[in-house]
Amino acid sequence: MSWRLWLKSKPKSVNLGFYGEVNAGKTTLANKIGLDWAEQEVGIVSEIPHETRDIQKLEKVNFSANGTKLDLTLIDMPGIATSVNPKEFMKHGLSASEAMQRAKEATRGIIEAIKYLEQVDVALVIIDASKSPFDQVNFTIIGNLEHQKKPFILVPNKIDLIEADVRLVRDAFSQYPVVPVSAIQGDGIDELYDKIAELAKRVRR
Amino acid sequence: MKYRVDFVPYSETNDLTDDEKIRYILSKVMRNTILVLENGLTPTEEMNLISKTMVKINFNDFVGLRFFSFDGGTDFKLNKLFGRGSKNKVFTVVAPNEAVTVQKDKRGILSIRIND
Ligand SMILES: Nc1nc2c(ncn2[C@@H]2O[C@H](COP(=O)(O)OP(=O)(O)OP(=O)(O)O)[C@@H](O)[C@H]2O)c(=O)[nH]1
Ligand SMILES: [Mg+2]
Repeated sequence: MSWRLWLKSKPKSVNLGFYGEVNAGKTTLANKIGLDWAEQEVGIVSEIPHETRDIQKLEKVNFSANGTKLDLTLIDMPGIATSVNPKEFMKHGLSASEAMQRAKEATRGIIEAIKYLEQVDVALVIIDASKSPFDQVNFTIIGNLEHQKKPFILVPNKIDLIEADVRLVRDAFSQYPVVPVSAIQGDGIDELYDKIAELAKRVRR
Repeated sequence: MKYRVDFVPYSETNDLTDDEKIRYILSKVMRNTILVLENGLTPTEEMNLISKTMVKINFNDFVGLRFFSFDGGTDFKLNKLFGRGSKNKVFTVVAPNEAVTVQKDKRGILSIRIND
């Protein structure tokens, strides 16, 4: 095979970043994608906010959808927040010192996640569809992705919950690609895979 | 705790560099001031504000802030009302996290309740 052909048949490598508010289900979705394509999870899921405090990567994920083959690196980010209050964690049963430790790690994690944005090729912005989507954090993330010309998909998650209101998210973000999912139950995941394959075509290598 | 609301005109922040503007905001917000900035933030400045806030949090009297940006527009479509695009927003509100309960509804109305 000529090197040209080889280059063409080689799956494109794409850094897929998971961004969003704290607790939106970023890690749950990253795990789902990791299990589907590499039989591996990416990180730990918890109902306690700021569970992910270090960037977690899963490399060499051989992904394929709609005839597009990709060599994905899943990059699960700490959730982005504008405040971190240790008292919040104590409500979840953490001791004062555990809460303080978690809070310190959370602030550092947020800074890391923001820095890493530059290295992401395609971003998934995970939104908890059972909550109001009008949190400033979502708009700030989207504004930065647009500014840096990164392709991204808005992913309203937790659509299995009765409180989930996908229409509200669609209305608020009408000019962007929106693919609702339940990361836990897998609803919408094939549509998401098709969209990832589509946006990956725009990534330059 | 007493809180103060400052309406900051364009002229006050327009000549500042990005970093100076963020420092200005943080120093005020950390001294219990709620800011309404006529010269709103860009998305890049908003991210920068989040990063710098994380450095300043001391888990004691400062646990962070909340901010909301508004885009201009004459029609009441949601996408006009919720800060979008890379331009400066028409105005931005920044408040200490502990001071207020802030809620933005789907009509774009921002309600700030100041806690006592
Ligand atoms: N019902 C429902 N719950 C979900 C879904 N996805 C995630 N969750 C729950 O939401 C909580 C947070 O999930 P995580 O995956 O840890 O969220 P995260 O965005 O990674 O959170 P941080 O790392 O703390 O920012 C957990 O209790 C999950 O079980 C979903 O599709 N449906
Ligand atoms: Mg996580």
